[in-house]
Parts: sequence; structure tokens; C-alpha cells
Amino acid sequence: MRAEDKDKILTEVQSRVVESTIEGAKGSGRDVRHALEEILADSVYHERRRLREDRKSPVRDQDKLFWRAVQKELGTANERTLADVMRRAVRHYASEICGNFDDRVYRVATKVLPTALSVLLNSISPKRLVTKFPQMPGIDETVVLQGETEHVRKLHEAGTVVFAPTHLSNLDSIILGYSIFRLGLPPVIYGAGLNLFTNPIMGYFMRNLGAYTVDRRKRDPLYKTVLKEYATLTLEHGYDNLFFPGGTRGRSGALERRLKLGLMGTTVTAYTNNLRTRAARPKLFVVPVTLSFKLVLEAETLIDDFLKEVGKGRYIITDDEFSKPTRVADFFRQLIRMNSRMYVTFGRGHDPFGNPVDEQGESLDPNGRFVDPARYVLQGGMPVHDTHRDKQYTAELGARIGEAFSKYNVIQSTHVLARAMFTLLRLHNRTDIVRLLRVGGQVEDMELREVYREVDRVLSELRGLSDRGGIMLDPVVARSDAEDLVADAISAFASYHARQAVTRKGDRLFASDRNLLFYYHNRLEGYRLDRNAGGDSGSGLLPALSDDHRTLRRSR
Amino acid sequence: MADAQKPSAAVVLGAGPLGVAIAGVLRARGIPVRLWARRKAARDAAADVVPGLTLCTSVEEAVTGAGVAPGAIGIVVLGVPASGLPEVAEAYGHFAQPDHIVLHAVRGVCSTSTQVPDGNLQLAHRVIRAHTCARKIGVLGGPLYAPDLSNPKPLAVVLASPFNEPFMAVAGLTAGGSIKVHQSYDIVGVELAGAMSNVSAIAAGVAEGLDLGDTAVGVLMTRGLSETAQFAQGLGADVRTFFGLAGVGDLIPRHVASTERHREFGALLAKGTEVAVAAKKVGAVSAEGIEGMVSAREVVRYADRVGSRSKLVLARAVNALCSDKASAADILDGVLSQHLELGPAMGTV
Repeated sequence: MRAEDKDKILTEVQSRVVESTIEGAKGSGRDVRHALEEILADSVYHERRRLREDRKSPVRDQDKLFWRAVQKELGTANERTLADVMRRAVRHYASEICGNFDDRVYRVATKVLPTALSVLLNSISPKRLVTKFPQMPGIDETVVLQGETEHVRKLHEAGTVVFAPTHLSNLDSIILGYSIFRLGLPPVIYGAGLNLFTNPIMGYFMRNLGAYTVDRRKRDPLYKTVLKEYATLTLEHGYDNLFFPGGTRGRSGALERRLKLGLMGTTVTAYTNNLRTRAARPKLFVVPVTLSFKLVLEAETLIDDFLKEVGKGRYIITDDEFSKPTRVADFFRQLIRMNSRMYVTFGRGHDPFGNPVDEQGESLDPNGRFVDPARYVLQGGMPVHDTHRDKQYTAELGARIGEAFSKYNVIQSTHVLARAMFTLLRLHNRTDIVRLLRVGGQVEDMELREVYREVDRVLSELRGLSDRGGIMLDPVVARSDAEDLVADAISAFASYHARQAVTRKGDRLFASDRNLLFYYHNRLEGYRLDRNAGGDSGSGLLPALSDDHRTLRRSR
Repeated sequence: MADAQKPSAAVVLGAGPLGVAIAGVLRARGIPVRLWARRKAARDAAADVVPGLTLCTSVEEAVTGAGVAPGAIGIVVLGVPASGLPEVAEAYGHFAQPDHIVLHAVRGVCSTSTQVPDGNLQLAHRVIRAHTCARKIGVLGGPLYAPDLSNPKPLAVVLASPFNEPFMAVAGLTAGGSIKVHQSYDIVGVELAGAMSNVSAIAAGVAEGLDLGDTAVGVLMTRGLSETAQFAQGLGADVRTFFGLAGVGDLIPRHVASTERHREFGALLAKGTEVAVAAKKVGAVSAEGIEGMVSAREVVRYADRVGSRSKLVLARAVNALCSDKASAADILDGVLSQHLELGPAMGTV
């Protein structure tokens, strides 16, 4: 971000948040002083509560002092003073969020990025690797960019782009940062949890790739307002953004289907504001992106968290694989050694109302006719905000993104084997899925032949679906027979995870780690693949995950 | 505000009884109304009932001729039954605008001509959405009896839309009159309640035709309501919708036009009349014009494809009857002998 923009944005966040509070109070006939006081009191309450628990924060003392000063003003100060205090509080949050962007570091970082990332992704010691594996592919071959890349490049010319990727791993933002760089686009701005900055190497890259900090410990509504306003303003200033519509990393391994649309809603807001200020480039586009790995760095931690407290996935994990540089290095080493690909698939852009757009950024209706998107927000000839209306638009946009995720999901051998094995486990044990995962069933292993049969069945369903454009397949999945696919997946499972998901003994396969199996199996959830598992009469299996994919279905 | 909410123009596409009645309500509030219907006779008949209509010979003339300024409120009423909806929505799609408010009162699920394995249930608002750029789509539900719209009798309708705008536009029009408009956000629930009340009406008609008495009718209605509620819940609808005017409220009045027609159709089937003949007798062009029959078929197909917690006993029975798979008596017997399990959505009896 340019330094002059940063100041402008900070000042504007301040005035917008405070003014909209005052206006909101006036509009609903409330006492303005009272309204301001209430919000600030709320902030003090939430922040003091957080500070009591969050002892590791490096700025704990400053924060304490700050909120103590705010508290002193409550109760006695008049309306003007309170508005000032609120302005300060907003500034306090906003400057933490946008961090210490340094213009010079930023420019350097974008220049050294490809080399540095290549070094990083090639597991830090390229020399050693190259001597060990002279045929090792470089990062350019490991990360495969596909889909509507040309379209996305053109959209960037026509307006501001918001990338909306699936989220499995903390590596996602780095891989994406690199991919966007390879598209020839400037770095994107994105929010990242404070805890991600603990890995010093990653932290450095993230900060200088445009990451701003999101402290999920802060429960204060004012903080969330400031975050949203900050994102809105960067969009209005024409900075491309990256939003993870799933919120945090998916714990279950499944694709996000119910999306958190709070941040996504800023696209309608920013677009409306752009129309009001008659901005030169008012348009915004949301581009769905899927990431697909054969193995997921944090799979073990994530699925354990999912199963620990089913339906939550809300804990902030601070000490997972990502925070250990050696583990990250090991992960990449294995991926590259296996000649495995990471797929970054770009979908088609959409306007904030869920209409697809063409290369010039013109919105299209379902039959490809031009639509004037401004008319979605006009009222009496003027562009206006309307919280309820805009939420519906964003829900529509979210639905389109969800569909794109499903369509651009790239399936690898590990997903197919895990799907087949886990489905067979369920068929053999016929028990409650929660129980199966926690306690295990009577049958833990099966004949290789049986697995091949089920893999073949899944493959034929997947290939049909892929022909109809409903899913994407890695070459191994698209072309191998069951035997090769199973061998490929087993060697992948054996390569990195501390616990192996599947092991082979003679002509039998053992489900040695049900949780991991379940995790990779979930990547194929929602395609109704197991209707006919185990015979044509129907398997009777209900989907393993419930509708919102953050919870397990409790019944069998 | 009141004036800002007032529609500047309205377009009615299709001259069914309900479309004409709504045109009358709009005209009575001084709003210019342009009406299109395929047949000239239908247009002229509408003009006789509602004075001051601008009759149009093409959808383009009706919609673009209305000249709604960007951001002004324009109402487009798709006054056609389910069988005609895809065609009219497609024709309207060429001229639709993002700020249009689109209303319909379709009481049926549209037929899927092609069997797409991943296809969705063709609810009316989805059909409209699939052909147009419009978002502010609303359904009118509840016991709508078209002739009552022009009578001073108290009348209530449910207007369901995820957006507020359709409700505000209609509520502004009916304020102070004898029509009370209730707002709902549950468009899926209201559409399904309307569609499935016709399925229940066919079953009720069969029971009447076989002279099984009022108890049987009561059981069938209850079954229809509860299984639909459960099914609809799986599609994201709110169960409470079925306790409201669009659900229970819709089952009680018997003389709502579409209910009457479906009951008659059911009674004819009970007496052994062939489906196509029965359909003609109740005034449908073909069997596909019987919304309850098509809805039963589509819902059952969808449930078989995707799975549903609801067993859809009644819908399956009506579907089997309409596809000549069994006799009326056998089928109703099958339904009536089943335990009335209302399921988690509605509690158990």
C-alpha cells in the first residue's frame, strides 16, 4: 500500500465509523452522547476482559493504559469529547490492523518475492535438495495455476479484484500470494490472524505481501466495525483484496459450503460508495479460487480439533505445524519429492450481486445479456446503502462462490483412496459415525480387491462428474487405474504425516488412522458419491457431515 | 417516504384470473398498468374487467414501454400458472432490470423437462432467477381467491421474499384497504406450501370421490402439511411457515380457485376417469397444467435423487395415482393405514 493512501485510509476509517455512529443514533432518535458512551463502554468491557487472559500480547501494557484512559472519560465527558475519544479508539484499532507497512520494504519484498519464495518452498536449503534430487521440479512446476487466469488478469484492468479462495492451510495465503504474483498482478491485501506472525519467516513474508492483522481474541464489536471499514476503504482505493470466505481454515477437510459473508459484504458497500463518489474505476469483482493439495500441512491438528468438539472449530490454534519452520520445510520437501502438484484454480469473476462478468468486467445475466449493476443499489435514482438488501445480495454472491468451489475442486489420489476406504469402513461397521471415529469399529482392514472395486466405482462417478464440468481431477485420478491410484496415495500418506492414514500388509489395507482418513475423505463430501456404494440397491449411508460442514451428522 | 415507495408503473404478464385481479388492485390505486397476454381474447377480457389498462401485444412492448426510470419502483407481475412460467420468465428476461420487483402467485413446482442428475427442484422463484437478472422476487401465498380481490371482503395474503422491497411496495398499495398483507422472508416455504396444498387437494378430492368422509380428508390434509413441512425444512424453509397463513391457513378455505379445481380433478380420478380426460374436464389444456400433479411428481423425483428425511407418503401416492400405477382406492388405503408420524419438524401425534 502506498504510504499516502495508508494515512488517508486511517483518517477516513476514523471519520466514517464515528460519523455513522452519530448518524445512526440521530436516525433512530437516540441521544448521541448516550450512544457513543454505550459503544465505548462495550469496548472497555471487552478489551479489559481480553487483557486479563491474553498475557502474551507484546502490547498488553499499552493497551491497558489506553483503555483505562478511555474509561476515565465515560460517565462525565460531553458529546464532543466522547466523539473524540471514539475517534482515538478507532485509530488505536486501525493502526494495529494495518501495522507498520513500510513502503520501501514493500517494494523490495515484491521484487525478491519469487526467488525468496522459491527458496522457501524448496525447503530452505535448495543446494542440498538439488544435489539429492537433481531432477527436482522447481516451484514453478509445483504450483500449477489453472482456470480463468487470463480472464482474471483482464479483470484487474477493469476494476478492483477480490480473491475468494478455499481455506485449508496457513500456507494458502502464501501460495496465493505467489500465484497472484505469477499472474503478473500486484500483491493483494488480506487479513491474517495475529498468531500467524509467530513463524518469523512466514511472518516477514506475510506482512510484506500485504497482510494486515486480525486479532480474533478481540471480541469488541467496534473492533469488527473498524476491520470491515478498513477492508472497505482499501477496496475503494483500488487495492485488490483476498478474503477467505470460510473464515478460518476448514477443520473437517471439506469444502466450505456455508460461507461467512461479513467481509464479503464489503464489496457491495465499496461499490455503492464508489458510485456515490463517482470513482473512476467503480467496479469490483469477486474471483473464487480453489487450492488443492495432495497432503495438507496441518491435517492432523485440524481434524483433531474438529473431532474434539464437533461443531465448533472455533478455537484459535496457535501451536500447529505452521508455527514450526522445520515442519513446513519437511512438508514441502515431501511434496516436491513426490512430484506432487499444488493446484491453484481461478474461477470466473462475479460482481457483488452474484452475476458473472465478462473480460471487460461487464455484468451478465444468466443468459449472457448485459446487466447494469448500478441499478441493484439505486433508490429514487441515487445509490444508497441498505443493510438488509445488501445482505441478500451477498448471500447470492456467496452461493455462486460455493458453487464455483465445488466445480473447481481438484481431486487427488489421496482424496479418492480415503473416500473409498472410509466408505467401506462405514459399510462394514454400520455404526454411528461419531462412534466409528472415536472408538473404531470391529472391522479395521479390508481386502485390497474390495478397495480396488470401491475405488473404481468412485472413479467412474468422478470421471462422469468431471466430464459434465462438475469437478476437476488431477491426472493420476483422471487416467490411472485403481491399482496405480491406490499405490500413489499410499506412498503419499506414508511420506509426511506422523501417523499414516492407510497401511498395506500383504493383500490387505488397514485404516491405521481413521481421523486422517476421514479428513481426506471429506474433500469429496457433498457430491453424493456414496449413494450406490456396496451395491446398486443404495448404500443407505447418510452424508457424514451435516449441512453446514462444520458439524458431524450424529445419526448413522 | 410513502411516495418514494409507490410504484411508478406496473406490468402484468399473463391474464389469468389472479393477474387480472392484481391489475385491478393496481389500477384502483392510480398506477399505470400495462398488460400482456398471448391471446387477444384474454387481453380484451381483462380490459373489460379492469378499465384503464394499456394492452400490449408483446412482452417487450409491455416491459420497456413502461419506461421505469433507474431506481424507480416498477412492479412486474408474472400472472401465469407453473406450466406457463418458464416461457414467460424467459420472454421477460430479455427486458428485465435489476431494480424490478417481480411478483408471482404460482402454486406449483415447474416441470424439469431435461433430467439433469444434479438438477435442483424448480421452484418458481428459481425459474425466474434462472432467466432474469432480477433479485427482488416475491411470491404471493395463502388462501388467495381472485374474485375477492375486487370485493370489499377482508382478504389476507402472505408476501414472501428475502428482500423487503416487494413487501414494502405491495403494503404501500394496500394500506387502508381490506387487503392485509403479511410479510415473510421464507420464499421457499411459501412456494412449497402453495404447491403442496394442491397435492393435498387432489388427495382430498379422491377421498371425496370415494366417499370416505371428512375424517379421511382431515388425515390426508394433515399428512400433506406435515410431510411438506419436513421436506421443505430440508430445503432451508422455516417450519413455522406451515403453521401460518400460507400453510394451515391455505388448507381451510375450500373455495380458493386452484383448490377447487384440484379437488374436482381428484374426484374424477377416484371415479376412474383417465388423467388426461380429467385434466381437460377441469379446464386444463393438458395434464401438465394440473399443478398439483406436476408438483407431486417433481418433489418425489427430487427426493429420490437427493434424499429427504420426509417419506412423502402422500406426494408419492398422488404421483402413483396420476401415473396410473395403481387404483385410487388402493393408494388412499395405503396412505390412511400408515402411522401418522409427523417427524421432528412437527412433533409426533
